[in-house]
Amino acid sequence: MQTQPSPRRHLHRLGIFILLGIIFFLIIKWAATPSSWNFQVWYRGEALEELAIKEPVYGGNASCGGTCHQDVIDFAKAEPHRHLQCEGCHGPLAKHVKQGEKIADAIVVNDSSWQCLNCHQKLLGKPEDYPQFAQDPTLRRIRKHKKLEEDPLCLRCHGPHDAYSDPERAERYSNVSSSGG
Amino acid sequence: MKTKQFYELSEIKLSDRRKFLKMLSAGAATVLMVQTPGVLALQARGKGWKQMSLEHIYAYVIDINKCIGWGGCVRACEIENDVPPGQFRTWVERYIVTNSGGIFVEAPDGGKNGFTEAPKKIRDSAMRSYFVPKMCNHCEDPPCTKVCPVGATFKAPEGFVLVDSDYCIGCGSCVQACPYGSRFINHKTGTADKCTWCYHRVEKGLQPACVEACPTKARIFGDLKNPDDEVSKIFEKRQWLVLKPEMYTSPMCLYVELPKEVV
Repeated sequence: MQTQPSPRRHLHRLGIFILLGIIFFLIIKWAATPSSWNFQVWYRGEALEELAIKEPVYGGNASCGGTCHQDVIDFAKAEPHRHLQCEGCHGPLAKHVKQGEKIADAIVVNDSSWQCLNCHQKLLGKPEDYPQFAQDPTLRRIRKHKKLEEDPLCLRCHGPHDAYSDPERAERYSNVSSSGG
Repeated sequence: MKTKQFYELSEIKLSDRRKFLKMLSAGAATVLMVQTPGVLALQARGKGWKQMSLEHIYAYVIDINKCIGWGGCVRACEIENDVPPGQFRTWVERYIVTNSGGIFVEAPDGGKNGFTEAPKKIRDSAMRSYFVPKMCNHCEDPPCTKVCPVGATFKAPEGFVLVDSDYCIGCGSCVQACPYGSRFINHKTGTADKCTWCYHRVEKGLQPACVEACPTKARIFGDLKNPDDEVSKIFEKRQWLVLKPEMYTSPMCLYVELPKEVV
């Protein structure tokens, strides 16, 4: 005589199905969770190292001094432009030096009057104690003839490193301009 | 401070009087806590950080009075972090407040190439104007990390809010969640991108690229754990505010002398 199937067979089947589902889910979860996962803050721990690996492009003014261009930094030490970033005008370090070796000349990215006027043209919004020129005759000329803005007009009288207009400027500047390796 | 009471006195039995008084004081305390501005909450928490076991707690200071809006920081950020053109991790806005009550805000190309003269009509009626550099505020309590469905953006130790671009699926939830508009989906990678405070530079002992580029020290980056750091001194002694304190995000970008119009 055949034994009667259990009346709760469908429930057992459902239970086994759910159990298998949970085991399957846990296996997938175990396989998909990275070993470095931070369960407190909820992120992949390795991501921090991956983000930190990137090489800096800008080196900062400290990287320009030392054995290479310390004379220029010393020269500009007392000048108003001493706070400026070298790489702001000369381009980033990564394009000039790689692993301590010079790979290309540092070029002046933009020596036009625009570069100077960007900071020093009188403009609504700039702090009032900041040196800005509104009534300068040269500036009026530049405004009149837009082409002059592309010309290194300011640099004819002012040095980029020693910004005060000075008749001896050219002579003094020529002493250091040949520096660098 | 006013507290609202929702209980009518006649409803309360005599035996419940003690319970009622307890509830009254608890309610007042709750209202006081909730109504404390985000800035105060941050300052109170700042005292707790000093006892925390972290080696550094970084903060960023932006001095509105020093910014000249030349855009060098935006250019440096673009080169350092390979940001696609038209998208910005940091940008500079110019606010012009006129005497007719108008506030004009502009940021041509993120302020990357500096600013030009304002139209004569605005210029003549301008009462005051200033530049406001903006970027990710690296909130102490960031809303953007809470909405990420895959755990790709997170608050790293020492205060950085970062994006794991390997895990990011580019859904854009965090872009919508950020109250400061500091996030974007990078056109090149298709993943969420934002200011990292130049994490790769700071870990090597350098300053962020925008801080290096700033000629007037309008941007300063430093460690709150170091009492000799300039940021520490500003945190303790100067008047500073944060953007949108009503969002309770406790930003770590502290704005010195922030005018009231800035949002």
